[in-house]
Amino acid sequence: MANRLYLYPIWLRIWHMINALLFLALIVTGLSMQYSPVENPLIEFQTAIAVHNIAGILIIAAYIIFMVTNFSSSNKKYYVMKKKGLMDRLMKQSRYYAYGMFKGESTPFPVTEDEKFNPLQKLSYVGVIYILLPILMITGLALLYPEFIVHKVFGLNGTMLTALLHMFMGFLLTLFLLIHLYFASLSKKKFANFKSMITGWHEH
Amino acid sequence: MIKLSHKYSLVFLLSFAVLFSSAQEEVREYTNAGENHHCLKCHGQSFYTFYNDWTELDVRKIMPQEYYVDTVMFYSASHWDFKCTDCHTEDYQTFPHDGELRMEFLNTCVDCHGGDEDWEHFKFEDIEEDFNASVHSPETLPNFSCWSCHDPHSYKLDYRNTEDLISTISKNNDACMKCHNQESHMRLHTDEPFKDLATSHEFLPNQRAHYNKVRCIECHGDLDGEALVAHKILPAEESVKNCKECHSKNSLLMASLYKFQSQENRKKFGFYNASILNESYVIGASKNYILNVFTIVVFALSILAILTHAIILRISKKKNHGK
Ligand code: HEC
Ligand code: HEC
Ligand code: HEC
Ligand code: HEC
Ligand code: HEC
Ligand code: HEC
Ligand code: HEC
Ligand code: HEM
Repeated sequence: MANRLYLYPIWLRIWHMINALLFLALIVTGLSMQYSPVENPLIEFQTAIAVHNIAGILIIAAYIIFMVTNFSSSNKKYYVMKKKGLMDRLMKQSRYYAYGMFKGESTPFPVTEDEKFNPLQKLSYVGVIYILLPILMITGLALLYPEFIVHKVFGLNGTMLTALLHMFMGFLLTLFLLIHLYFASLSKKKFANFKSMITGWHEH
Repeated sequence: MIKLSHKYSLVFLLSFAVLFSSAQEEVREYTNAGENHHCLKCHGQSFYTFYNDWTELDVRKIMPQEYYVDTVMFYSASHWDFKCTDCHTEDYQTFPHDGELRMEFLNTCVDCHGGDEDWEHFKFEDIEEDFNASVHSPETLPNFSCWSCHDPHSYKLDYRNTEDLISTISKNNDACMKCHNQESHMRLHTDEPFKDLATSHEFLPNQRAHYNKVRCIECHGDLDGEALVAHKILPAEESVKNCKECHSKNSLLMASLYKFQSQENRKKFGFYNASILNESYVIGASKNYILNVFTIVVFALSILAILTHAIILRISKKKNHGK
């Protein structure tokens, strides 16, 4: 089976599964706390707070384990962005999604042992793992321990700014999830990518 | 010598009091300071001295904490221009005080302020009515009076003209905590088993954050009362337990703690309940209208883009197949 690649080791799949479930729990409870009406909350406020806090702490723990394992494994190589020709590669991949794909062209960056992500995928994963998730987690922790938050920032309420940043990151990540899910579904065979994320094997 | 040093300490303390009060008010003239000094030279210190006629010696003794009156606080309180003997009987001039004096009658707030046009806006009568209907009513707790919360020697009008809401909240809550967080104080009023606040409020997460940012009466007071500060404290089971009463767009905080501020700038930078934002961030109550609209629009556009992509992909696949 030359066209099978083992790309998703077991620890990665477990992290990913846990991360996805916790993230969904965080989205639902977060939205419920902030937006559901008084009379019939989506989830009871107290329950929502408790679930959100626990899921938040667990997702941070999972993230730390992911970072440590990722850095001590060969998987880290997929998260290195090379600056040279980056723009070109991004344009090429975007052109493929917006045009070439409809023409039946084959992908410009086929999945290989050395490069499992296409340039757009890589950009979004690196952004999510190194920037968005850390900010989300740090602001979340700060809201859990508000005594560490600066009370006033240029005359504005520090907690409010922290909360706004937290919500904005949550929003961007939910948007990421939406797009992530859609592009993961774009495989030749139906659900092939989702299967990969369960078995670990990528099939061409 | 001792007399002289007392005089100096009085001058020192008074200049402090002036410093403290002059920040907001015109410089005060303490017309009764001299007379009060006679009492405060004992009650304003942690020890007192008197001449023992029997042993013919000067004696130094500890002033019991309960009888200590803080001089600086007294002269910055609402009743700062009072003589001790305006409220207490003149007979306290003599020491040792006559044992019968502890039975002296002390006026309550309404005895002086009631039925007086000058004080109408404070609604003293309504407050007394609310107090009598509250869990602390003299009927259930005979030792309880207005003075139980309004320390006679330091009470200062605060919330009505506060510019620092956080410190007002802390002072208001201290008045409740003095008893409810301290078993020895509760014992003066009841033989019921003591329940400490942390356990009775286990349902409330981030208790510290709440006690720092809301008053006890937000949850325990009957907010329909006439007075600016709710005085009808409801029984535990009638208190606010539903988080959404505060953590929602129409937060009760706007009708209680932020009663004053809420009339102005309801919306600032597109925020609902903008006035809360100066002091607190309340999940669910502090919402930004512009941000809400923005996120919904971006989400809708993204879903639309994905759907379009998916549809074009389907159509083109069929076409490519046909070839
Ligand atoms: C020489 C010190 C001294 C002076 C002067 C003094 N007191 Fe006292 N006072 C005490 C002490 C000590 C107590 C504690 C209880 C006791 O010994 O009666 C006390 C108790 C009291 C009490 C509480 C009585 C009770 O048992 O409820 C009041 C009220 C009081 N003093 C008011 C005054 C006033 C008003 C003045 C000034 C007009 C004054 N005292 C002057 C030493 C003094
Ligand atoms: C506005 C009225 C008022 C003034 C002025 C006043 N007191 Fe009192 N004082 C009271 C009341 C009321 C009580 C009883 C408090 C209670 O029952 O809890 C009291 C109680 C006391 C007590 C007993 C201990 C206690 O706190 O219960 C002492 C001692 C005392 N006062 C001393 C003084 C001294 C000294 C001054 C002057 C510096 C003074 N008071 C001025 C109203 C007053
Ligand atoms: C012995 C009579 C007397 C008693 C008892 C009394 N007051 Fe007063 N109160 C006065 C007088 C007189 C003034 C005016 C003082 C001034 O303007 O300097 C005053 C002033 C005030 C003020 C206005 C202070 C300001 O800064 O505008 C408030 C509020 C007040 N009292 C509340 C109370 C409360 C609450 C109680 C009961 C816990 C009470 N008073 C008990 C006589 C009394
Ligand atoms: C359970 C505690 C408690 C009791 C008992 C109590 N009060 Fe108060 N009261 C407060 C607190 C707390 C405030 C807020 C003080 C502030 O920040 O100005 C207040 C404020 C007030 C004010 C000022 C309101 C305003 O419009 O600014 C008045 C007047 C007053 N009380 C009168 C009374 C009278 C009269 C009684 C007795 C019938 C009484 N209080 C009993 C706790 C109490
Ligand atoms: C002088 C002491 C004292 C002060 C000050 C005081 N309380 Fe109380 N409070 C009591 C006592 C005593 C009881 C009766 C407790 C009991 O029976 O278990 C009580 C009862 C209550 C109850 C009813 C509890 C129940 O089981 O239903 C509430 C609520 C309450 N207080 C809130 C407050 C608030 C809010 C404040 C401040 C505005 C305050 N208290 C200030 C002594 C105090
Ligand atoms: C978020 C609303 C909220 C705040 C703020 C709050 N309480 Fe309560 N409190 C409650 C509720 C609800 C109960 C009833 C709890 C129950 O029955 O499980 C309660 C119970 C109590 C009781 C009765 C305890 C018992 O077991 O009988 C007292 C006394 C009390 N609170 C005092 C205070 C004091 C003092 C403060 C301010 C430091 C305060 N509360 C702040 C909501 C609140
Ligand atoms: C009386 C109004 C009120 C009620 C009722 C209330 N809260 Fe709050 N809550 C606040 C305020 C005000 C803050 C903001 C504190 C701050 O700015 O630090 C807050 C903050 C919080 C926070 C975040 C603390 C932080 O800043 O990290 C949590 C979590 C919370 N509340 C949960 C609850 C839950 C759960 C309940 C119901 C059991 C509840 N609250 C009931 C007023 C209330
Ligand atoms: C229900 C939710 C989710 C599903 C079904 C899902 C599905 C998938 C699939 C099929 C892949 C493999 C294909 C690919 O490489 O693109 C993948 C990889 C990945 N996903 Fe998700 N995902 C979900 C949620 C998330 C969330 C919430 C995050 C982060 C916040 C995330 C981050 C990642 C990352 C970083 C990878 C690459 C892992 C690696 O190979 O190193 N996913 N996901």
